[in-house]
This record gives sequence, C-alpha cells and structure tokens, in this order.
Amino acid sequence: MEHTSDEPMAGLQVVTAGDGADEIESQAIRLGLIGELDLATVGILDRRIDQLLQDGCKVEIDLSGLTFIDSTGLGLLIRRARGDGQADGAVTIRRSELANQVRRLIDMTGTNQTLWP
Amino acid sequence: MSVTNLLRETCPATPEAVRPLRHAVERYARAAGIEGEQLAAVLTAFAEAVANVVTHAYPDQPGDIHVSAAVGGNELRIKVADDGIGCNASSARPGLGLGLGLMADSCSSLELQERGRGGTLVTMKFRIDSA
Repeated sequence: MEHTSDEPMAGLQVVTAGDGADEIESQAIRLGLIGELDLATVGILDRRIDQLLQDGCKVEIDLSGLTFIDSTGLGLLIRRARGDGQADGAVTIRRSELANQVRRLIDMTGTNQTLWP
Repeated sequence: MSVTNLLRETCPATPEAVRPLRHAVERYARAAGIEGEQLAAVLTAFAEAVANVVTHAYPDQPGDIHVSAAVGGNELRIKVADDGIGCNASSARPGLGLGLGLMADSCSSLELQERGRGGTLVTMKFRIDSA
C-alpha cells in the first residue's frame, strides 16, 4: 500500500490506497483517515477529494483510523456523501469500526442514513 | 467542594489552536478519571465551543480564546470565553448549526453569557460518574 500522507504534522493523515490490492474497483481510490478531522484539518481532506475527483476517480473514505471528529469534519463528510456539487456516487463512506467519539457524534446527529444510504 | 489542578489557557483564536487546546482538556479530564463515553462527551462539547469562537467571535480582527477547567467534587467545569462580538450577533459564517445542540446534549449543564466587556462566556458542566 502506498502511503501519500498529506501534511502529516497537521493532525490528520490522508492515506491513499494505491497499489491495486486496496482499490475497491476500477478508478476508485480509498482514502484512509488517520488522526483528527476538525476545523483545522478539514481542508486537507477536502482538497484531496477535489484532486481525485478532478482526476476522474471515485473516492471511498475509510474512517476506521479516525480518533476524533467535530461538526465541521462531519459536515464535510455529509456534503460529500450527499453528493453536493459532484457526480452521484463519486464519494462514499466505507462502513467500518469507529472510534468511540466518532461513532457517538454520528449517532447524536442522526446522520447514519446520510453517510451510509 | 475541593477544586484540583485548575487548567487555564489563553491563545490566539485560530484553527491551529483547536487541537492543542483539545488535547490539554483531554489530559486534564483523563487525570480527573474521565474516560470512555464521558470523555467523548467532554471532547465533543469542548470542540464545538472552541470552533464557535474561532469561526464566529472575531469576524474582522484577530482575538484570543480563553479556556479554563476545574474539577470539584464529582463535576468537571469547563469555561470557554472570548472578547469578540458576542453570542447575540449574527454571523456571516453560519455553519451547519449543529454546534450548540451537540454541546447541550453532551454536558449536564450549559450556559452562554454575554461578557460585560464584550465577548461570550460558555460554561459547561459534566458529571463525573464513577466507573
């Protein structure tokens, strides 16, 4: 698996699965999030998704390495999962085990159906 | 009521300040014996309070955020304050509107006050349940 960590010191690493073994389908790239997705780091993920979509890829986001998320980070995931301003199905969220705080925020906001329609 | 190990921090209200402040509160809460779901609730509420300051308090100029935490008896009390435009002002950056609800749902008591000399003071209290 090729790791292309973007701004690793910023609290969030966006790890790209790039060797084929972790590709979910042709032209689909899995982005593993490691660390904290919040007001300070949300732009890292947003820019990475934009870059991949502009390259014609689909994106699957894996939250299993995420240790913290705030409403700003959740807002980005919701907008992307809903497909705001992008092609239908271009970005999906992988079902996975979630850290306590991440699962709690998603449950509290009732956004399960939006993230995993 | 005994108060132990008061945490007090002031720093510029920027996105870069969010994580160090949250980590400081996390260390403080863990030292007070808060873990698991309770810790998740504390960090969720605190993050929203800090994000509100960074996003809304200073639309036209830089400013500071003031954080304090104290444990007394079976309660953790966290205060997040700023010197900005106040909580009754409208914001040009409204966000998702989830923050206040998440704060209220995560703590046992939530108060928002206009500060006398300008700005907002948010006081959150969390019951510390023994494991």
